[in-house]
Parts: sequence; C-alpha cells; structure tokens
Amino acid sequence: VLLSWVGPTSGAAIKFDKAPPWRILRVDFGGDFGESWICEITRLLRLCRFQKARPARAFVISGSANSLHSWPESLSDHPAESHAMRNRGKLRLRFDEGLAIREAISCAKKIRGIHSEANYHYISTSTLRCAQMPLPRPEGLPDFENPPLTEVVVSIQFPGPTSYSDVYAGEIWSLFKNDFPTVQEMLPLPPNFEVFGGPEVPGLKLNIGLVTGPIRKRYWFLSLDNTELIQFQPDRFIHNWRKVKKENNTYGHFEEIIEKYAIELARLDEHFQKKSWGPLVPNQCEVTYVNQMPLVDENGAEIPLSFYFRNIDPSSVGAVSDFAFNLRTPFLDEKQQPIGRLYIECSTGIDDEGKPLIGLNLTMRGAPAEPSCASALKLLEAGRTQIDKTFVKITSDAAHKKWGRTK
Amino acid sequence: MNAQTNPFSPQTWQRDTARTRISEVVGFPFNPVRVTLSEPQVTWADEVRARLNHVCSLPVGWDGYHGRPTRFDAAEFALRLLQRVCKPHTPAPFIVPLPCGGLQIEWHEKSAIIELGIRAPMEVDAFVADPSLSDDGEERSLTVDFSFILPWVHKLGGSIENKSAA
Repeated sequence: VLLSWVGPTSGAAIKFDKAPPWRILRVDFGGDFGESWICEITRLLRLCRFQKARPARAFVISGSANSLHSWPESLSDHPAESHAMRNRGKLRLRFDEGLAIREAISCAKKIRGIHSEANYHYISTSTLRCAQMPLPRPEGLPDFENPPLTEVVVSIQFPGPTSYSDVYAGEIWSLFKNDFPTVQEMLPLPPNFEVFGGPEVPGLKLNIGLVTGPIRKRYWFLSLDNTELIQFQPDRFIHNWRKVKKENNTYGHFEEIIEKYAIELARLDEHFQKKSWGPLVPNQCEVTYVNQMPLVDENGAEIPLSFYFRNIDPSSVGAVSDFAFNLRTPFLDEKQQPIGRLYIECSTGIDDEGKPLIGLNLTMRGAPAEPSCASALKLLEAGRTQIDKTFVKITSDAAHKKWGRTK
Repeated sequence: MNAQTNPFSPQTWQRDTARTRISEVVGFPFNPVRVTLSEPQVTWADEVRARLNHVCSLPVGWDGYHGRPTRFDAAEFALRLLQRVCKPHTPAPFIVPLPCGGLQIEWHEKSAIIELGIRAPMEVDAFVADPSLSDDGEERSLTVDFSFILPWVHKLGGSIENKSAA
C-alpha cells in the first residue's frame, strides 16, 4: 500500500486567481483504502486535534463503497471531489489560514510517523507542494460582475447549553479574536422555527421578559475593516459578510463565506465539546442575501420600479411612490417533504445617504436533515442555490445586464 | 403594512434578524390601513401565552424533584406549532411542563383527545384518539410537519362554533 502526504505550504504550484482562505493537508492512500481507514482515520483526526490543527472539513475519496458508507457523519464527502478522485483513495483535511504552516507540517510528519509504524511506504518530502483547492461552485448558478448584494448572512440555531453564562463569552471571542478583534454587545435574537401544518395564525409573540433567568447577550465580533462579523449567542452562531462603502469591498462568492463559516463552526463545536457543553446540534439554519437596487442612476435620472422585476410592474396602477411585497414558499427536501421556507421580502426605501432604492431580501430557513453541523452546512449550500435561482427568476434581464451578468 | 411587519423597519431589524444595520434599508413609513373587524380574534392566544410564560418561569425543582422550567426555545416552538395547527377559535389547550424542560399540549374534548409532548424543538410525540371509538388511538413522532394532527385539531374548532351558535 502506497501512502503519500502533501502538507500545506504558501507556494503557488497550483494557480488560482485568488488564494482561498484555507489550506489542505492531503493524505493519499493507495490500494484498498477501505481496509485501512477505520483505525487510521480515527488516529489522524485525533492527532490533528492534538496538534491544534483543525480539520474543518474532510473529504474522503475511496474506491470502496463500504468505506464511504462508514465515514463519520460529522465529516462530509463532497460529491464533486468524490467523482473526480474516485478510486484513488485520498483524505483531505482542510485547515484555516490562521494555522501556522509549521504546525501543519509537523502534523503531517506525525501522520507519516504513524503510518511508518504501520509499515507503509511514502513518497519523499519533495512531494510537498501547495494543495489549495477551492470548494467547487455548483453548475447552473448565475454570476454577476457587479451584483446588488450588500450583505450575506449564514446562521445556525442550536439548543444553548444550560450551564452557559455570559462570563464564557470571552472564551468564545478568543477563538476568533485574531480575525475579529472588535466586540459589540447586542440584544439576543429570539429562537425561530419553521413549522408546517395549516395556515399560520398571525401576530403571536411570547413575552421574553417574563422568562425565568437572565437574558443572554448576543455578541458581535467584527473584523478590522468591518466587512465581516461573527455573531454569537448561546443558541446561535452567525457569520455576516457585508459591503462597506468606504472599504470598497466586493463580493467574492458564497463558497468563500461558507468555507470560513465551516471552519469557525468547527472551532466553536470543538470548544463546546471541550467545555462539556456537548457537540453543536443544529435545529435550524438560515441563509440570507440582502440586495439594494437604486431607483436613481449615476446621473440622477429616475429608474422605474418595474425595471428590476420580471413579472411585477407596480406602475400598472398608475404613479406609485412606494410599494412592498412579501412571498413565502416551502423549501422541500429530496422526498418532497417541507423542511423550511424561502422568504422573499421586498420594499422601497432609502439608503444611508437618503437615496431611494428597492431592498430585496431572500432568506431560506429550515431544519437540517440530520442534527449535525455537516448536514446544516449542506442545507445552507442548498438554500443559497435556491436563493440564487429565485433571484434570477424574479429580476429582469435588463437588470441582469446592468449588474453585468456573465453566466 | 405597518412598521411592525415592515421587514425593513429598524424595529424588525433589532428584534428578529441576524442582518446588520449597515445594509439595512430604511423603509418609507407605511400608514397602516387597518379595518379592525377584519382581523381574526384568536381566542386561545392570551391563555396560551400566559401559560407558556408561566411554565417557562417555574423554579428548578417545581415538581418536588429536579424538574426544570420549560426552555424558552421549546415554548417558542410550541407557539409556532399552535399557530400552524389551530384556527382562531380553536379551544385553548391545557399546557403542562415536563421535567426535562419540555412541555405537553393537551386537548381532551368529546370530539378528540390530542396530546403533543414536546421534549425539545422538533422532538414531538403526538397522540390522537377519538373518544367515541374503542381503539387505542394513534401515536407518531413528529418534527416540523404537523399536517397529521391538523384534522384532529380542526374537529375541536367545530365544537366551539356549535357552542357559539347555541
């Protein structure tokens, strides 16, 4: 059985336009991977944790159907990767940027050591090279050069640990402090669940003020440039990307956001387990796209309300100064059972400079198929796909042209 | 639409969303055009809300042992569930706490017996039975889709309407 390993480096053997924010430690197994994985993978993961290297997401690709079937639930295999690498027996552990290279290499050497004891053979260390692999973008999604997107939010909700106290918030912050050095305190978000049955009886809220015990805070951990933040409260974990005018930052892709979020989630999960708060058990997850579409162009000329929409023309009733609509549609799983909802919220308004615009928010919220972080991440990705497709359906071709649609 | 339901109002932003203010659109003030008579009077709302607040406010050991108060997320889930299965004039259910931090919602009427044991959000043991029949009723484990109990709950609504008509 041949085994090689590829440690993460900052080299550029593989060309990408933009370096993704993670690195991969790759271990290649030859032969029948299915025979060796049970003991080896467990040891690898334990070792990674011991080495403070966080396997945020692992892909296992094997020629053996049995080994795929038995793969730990918390680590998902990616279909695209699986397809590309089938029969070649590889395990990839993805690390975040904050991990020092030497730590990762040290980890890789330890892994070599383990396999050495198991009488495996290795390709020499000269095989060390950059192994950065971005998460593939699903086929058929639209691409815009200048989308009207101003904010993307990914979030999971889970049962908060009963022994949590706000004094532990500092520990949570310390997990992310390097990248998110600023803290703000906010009111907590109430729990939210998508439930199905008949039509909803509207307007009922619980009085949170009467509940026994203290009200926990929600914390914002902000990046230096304010373009990204993590929101934490005992039963929620959220990552926001947002457009900040003075930073002139542009939206990359959802893949970048979800990869970061997956790493942060793994870090939080690890901390929860360390504190004996148990693993994170997501019961709802949510992805939101916030769009702002100006109603005056660069020259100050008015853009009609109907310009942005494919089949909605508010001006059909005459001169319309303001309008709003809300749509809700069930989000179905593979068995066509409802698991969540897609919310489309639209309203005229003004931006922070007082210029008129249309706000268009698309949110998918629902329950993951399994109560695991991997399953929640899958649902977030599926939600994003649904949001992208819906956005294209309801917005006009003229608007797409304005935003520079390339796909 | 009024400010409470306008998704772009600052109140909504603070209360319900994970979005941040930086990309928030400030909605134009919509003058609410309301016809009060057209709004459904939800007869069970006040009683349910009071009861949920009560079971969430219980002290630890409320049952004489180590019973925990109902968790807020379980109560919130129960409210969402009721909003989806009840009609505005459905009789208010009995709500009792469970020692594990969950709660049980019950209706015991001539037309139907319904018990919904909510151990945690999305962990619901449902039991329904027709008192006029001698069978053992039916039990199911439910998560987010409560279509199964919908016709049973609607049976309860019918009995109230008859009372009102009388």
